Amino acid sequence: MLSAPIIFSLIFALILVLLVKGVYHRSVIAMLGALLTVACGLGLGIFDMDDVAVFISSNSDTILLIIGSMILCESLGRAGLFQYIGLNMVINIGRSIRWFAAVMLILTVILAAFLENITAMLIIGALTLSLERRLEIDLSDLICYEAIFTNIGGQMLMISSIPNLVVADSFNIGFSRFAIIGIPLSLILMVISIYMVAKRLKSSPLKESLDIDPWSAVEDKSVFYRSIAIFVTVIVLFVLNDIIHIGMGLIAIGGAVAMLILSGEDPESVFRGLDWGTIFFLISFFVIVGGLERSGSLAIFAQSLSGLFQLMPAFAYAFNLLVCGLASAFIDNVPITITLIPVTKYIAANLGLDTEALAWSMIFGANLGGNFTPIGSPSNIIAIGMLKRKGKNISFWEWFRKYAIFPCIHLFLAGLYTGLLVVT
Amino acid sequence: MSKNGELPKKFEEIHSKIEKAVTPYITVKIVMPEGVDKEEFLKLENNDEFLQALNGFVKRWLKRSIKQSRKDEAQN
Repeated sequence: MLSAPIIFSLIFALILVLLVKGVYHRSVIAMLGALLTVACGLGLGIFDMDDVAVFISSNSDTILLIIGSMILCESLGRAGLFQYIGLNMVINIGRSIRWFAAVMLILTVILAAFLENITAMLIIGALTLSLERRLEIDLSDLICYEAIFTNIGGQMLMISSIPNLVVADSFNIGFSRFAIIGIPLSLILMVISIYMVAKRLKSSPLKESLDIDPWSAVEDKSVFYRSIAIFVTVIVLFVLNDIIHIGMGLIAIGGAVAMLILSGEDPESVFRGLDWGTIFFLISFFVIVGGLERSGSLAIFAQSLSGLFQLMPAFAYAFNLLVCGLASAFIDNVPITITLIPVTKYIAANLGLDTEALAWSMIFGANLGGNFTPIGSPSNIIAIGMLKRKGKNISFWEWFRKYAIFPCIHLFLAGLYTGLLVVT
Repeated sequence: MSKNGELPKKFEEIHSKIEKAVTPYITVKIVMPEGVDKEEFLKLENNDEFLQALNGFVKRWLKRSIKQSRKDEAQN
């Protein structure tokens, strides 16, 4: 008969295979995995239903933070804030295509820092398509670069992506601390990548300067100002949380409630706009990983890795970075990070490594590795969809050939940066 | 979101708002006049020449109405 660690590992492997194949929605696959985990756990007497509740409730702050942030960003998007910022930035695009591309890519990083990747890409992509028509130039390449840049912005702040939230919460990295470490690397990667993009683009002049009224994207100015006030308050409270210790989840939910009351937006319509699939996906994965942990599978895996890293402990940082990076190119980065968290904690304690640096290597890998392939991140998939709509198909290999150089350089620099964190 | 390149519904919502800001447009419903061929009428939606003519009409209309409102102001 199969032992418990093997059974739970097989469930995990099955879920990963289904995620890679993409036959069903990722949340459905994760829910199936959670169901199998619970059934096997109860059947084998490894845990009971109270334990399942603990698997979820021990991550309640992360779940609340994600739901709160989603409501805040959805409301801000409806108020037109991000469209307003985008239109304001492109008014003065200058007369060169290189300058224009640089402005759009900086805007992408800013949007991705505050919004989830999907929404950031939808806004920047929609703006690019509209400008393409207006300026009568082909911006297909720029759309792909924007997708890549959303993942650079996605590691800037704690609220920029789900892996950031999950890892920061598990390793007690506060909002300010996250920004202090995350922003410099993102800026370095942004500048270098803009230089690379500029070198690839032909230096051609733009036909016209744009006469755009940014306010036309805002339906109600009072809602717009109220939404900004609430958002700024939430960010200030996030920063102050290191002192006041209210809990990031509670602050985000408080901000979301304030937004729903004061913004004047219809709550039903805001709720409909939320990405519930991600929330179910996340909760299900907390159960799957809880089962893996209880069955002893993760302990066995961590012990094997510890044995390997004992010879060369520094390899543990590179391992986290590369495993998260390469796996994110094919699978959603959330399950990878959730699974590696307990393993990383075990290895750090066992080998006396810098726990926070290990956490950072996971964050960098999870965010940047998705750019290797067109299916590695949701923004890449959206970019491909936008190109398809324009009648342009980009194959897996074409993406890899043209754009894989970016994550290669990004991961290399992130590795050096992690090394600096360990040394300092 | 599917991996086969379908864009989420949210995209249309965002795109139409931005499109309106970048290249302002209005959507007008023109009811089919009596006595015209239905098929020919429906084809007008994608007829560049017709759309160009409409564009010219809008310009002339706005020019005329601005002139008229100035005249009215002067009289009052």
